[in-house]
Amino acid sequence: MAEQRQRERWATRIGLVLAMAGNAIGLGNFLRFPGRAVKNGGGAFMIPYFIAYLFMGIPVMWLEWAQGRFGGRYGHGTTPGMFHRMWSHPISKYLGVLGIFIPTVIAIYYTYVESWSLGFAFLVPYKILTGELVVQRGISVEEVLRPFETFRGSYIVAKEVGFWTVPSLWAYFFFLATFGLNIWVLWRGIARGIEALAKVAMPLLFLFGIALAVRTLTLGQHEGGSPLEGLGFLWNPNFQQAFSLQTGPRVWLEAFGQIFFSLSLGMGAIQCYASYLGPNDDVMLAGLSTTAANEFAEVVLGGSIAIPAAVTFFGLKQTQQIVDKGVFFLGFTSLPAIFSFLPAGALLSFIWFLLLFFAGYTSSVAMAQPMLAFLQDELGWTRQKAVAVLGIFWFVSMHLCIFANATIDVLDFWSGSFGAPLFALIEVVVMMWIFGADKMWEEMHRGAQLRAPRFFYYAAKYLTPLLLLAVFVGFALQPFFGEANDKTIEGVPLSALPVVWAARLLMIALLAVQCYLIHLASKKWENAKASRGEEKR
Amino acid sequence: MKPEGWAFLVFGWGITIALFVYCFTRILLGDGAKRG
Repeated sequence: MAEQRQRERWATRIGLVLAMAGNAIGLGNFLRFPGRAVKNGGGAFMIPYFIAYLFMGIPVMWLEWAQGRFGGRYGHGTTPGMFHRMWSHPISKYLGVLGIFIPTVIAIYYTYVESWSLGFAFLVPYKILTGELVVQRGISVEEVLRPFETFRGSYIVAKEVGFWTVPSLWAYFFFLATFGLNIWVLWRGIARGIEALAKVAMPLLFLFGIALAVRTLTLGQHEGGSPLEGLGFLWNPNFQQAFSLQTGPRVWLEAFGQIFFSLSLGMGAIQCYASYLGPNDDVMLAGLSTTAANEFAEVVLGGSIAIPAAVTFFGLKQTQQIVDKGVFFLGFTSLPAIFSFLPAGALLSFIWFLLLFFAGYTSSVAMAQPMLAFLQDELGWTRQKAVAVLGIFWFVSMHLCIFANATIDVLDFWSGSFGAPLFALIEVVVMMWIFGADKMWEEMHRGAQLRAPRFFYYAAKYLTPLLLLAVFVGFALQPFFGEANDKTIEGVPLSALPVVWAARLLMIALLAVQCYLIHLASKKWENAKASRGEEKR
Repeated sequence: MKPEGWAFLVFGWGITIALFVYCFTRILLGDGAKRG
């Protein structure tokens, strides 16, 4: 069945690489990375960061690309079918469910968060131009930031009733617009939709990023300091923090986690995109290019905008406090406040939030695609039918995030912090230990335009699983122990327990339905196998 | 910025930019326009 269907293909190689880069590059590159680096030893953070990139990021990226192309050869665009082909055990296809479950859950909350950046791209510049969000120089940092923080708060939550949150009308409007834009791209398909989007959005994202970085680094001396001091805040190494027995393990874990989550590994989306390759198309150079684009956006651009700008205007101490308040405070409150001081501040705010929106948009379509591919490849649905059915589920589920913000943290914990490292660990073990490291190495190098040094073979087989295990233990299991467990549940205050359960029930129901659909698909695989056997006889 | 900060910045940016330029030059000058 699956083999007989004519699957879609990418139109161009650069389009595929940009789409893959779009999947990897998200809000975290511009907001999470600089905050993590500042908090974890500055330049010294880059030592474990690049070690993780070399021994975990690049190998897992290559493996996922190769697994995706392997599955595509047999008509499978998602991991249930791919695992089934690589490991002939009845449970393998059900382990692969994580490759459609995780991205579907992420799509639910991520698309709503992404819609904030679209809303801010239009509303913040408008409010700066009309004088509603312009503040005087010479007042305290708290007073500078207050109107921006008040605007952010009232945009997301106009009214709060217990743990229920009612968004502003603007927030709901931009949510509808963002959802519509996502559905439009998915409806158009791989080449005409996702690839066409990436070819426009990614060059613009890099252009905007470079423009903002240049503007930030040429700010000159201001009240807080200079951009150079800002770069120093990010890059001056604190070896004591990164290598002492007390704080070192946490720093290394944060670095491993940053590489892992930044590259969007262990989510099933990379395999899905790679499944639309031809059987002998290169995956090595293209996979490495994906990581290179992500690292450029993160290390060069992400490190040159929000932090240096904050230090220049607010000084080191205040910037530290801003970082401690979280990534959204840094990106959605502090930076537009700084831009409002500058000539053409409205324009700078516009391109900053549009940059974040493009980063989110290209990632959210990647998160929705695996479920669509599953419905098309394994159940024989048309793309339009798959988009319509997934769209209804997606739209309804998102309202849980909109009207109970706490669910965002719960969905994020189970799909991102818990699910993705677990699934990456499972897939590396399936590929390198069950399917076979030699076969996988050969699969990776079929049609390759780049030959990996042999040490990557041993890294992927022995070291990468250990690093993934460290990420899983550190990010997925740690919240269940220690002090945080007494005050919060999956990052949410204990008082919001009903909301936590609503999110959990949504995920359990989704997982059950997806497992049932895999069961139906496996019946089709068996029938197809039986009919092939009869034909041979 | 301290000298060792500069060293880390040059190291981090150097690796990242070199890899980015290498990969995308090969893809764009190679067969970037061909079928994915």
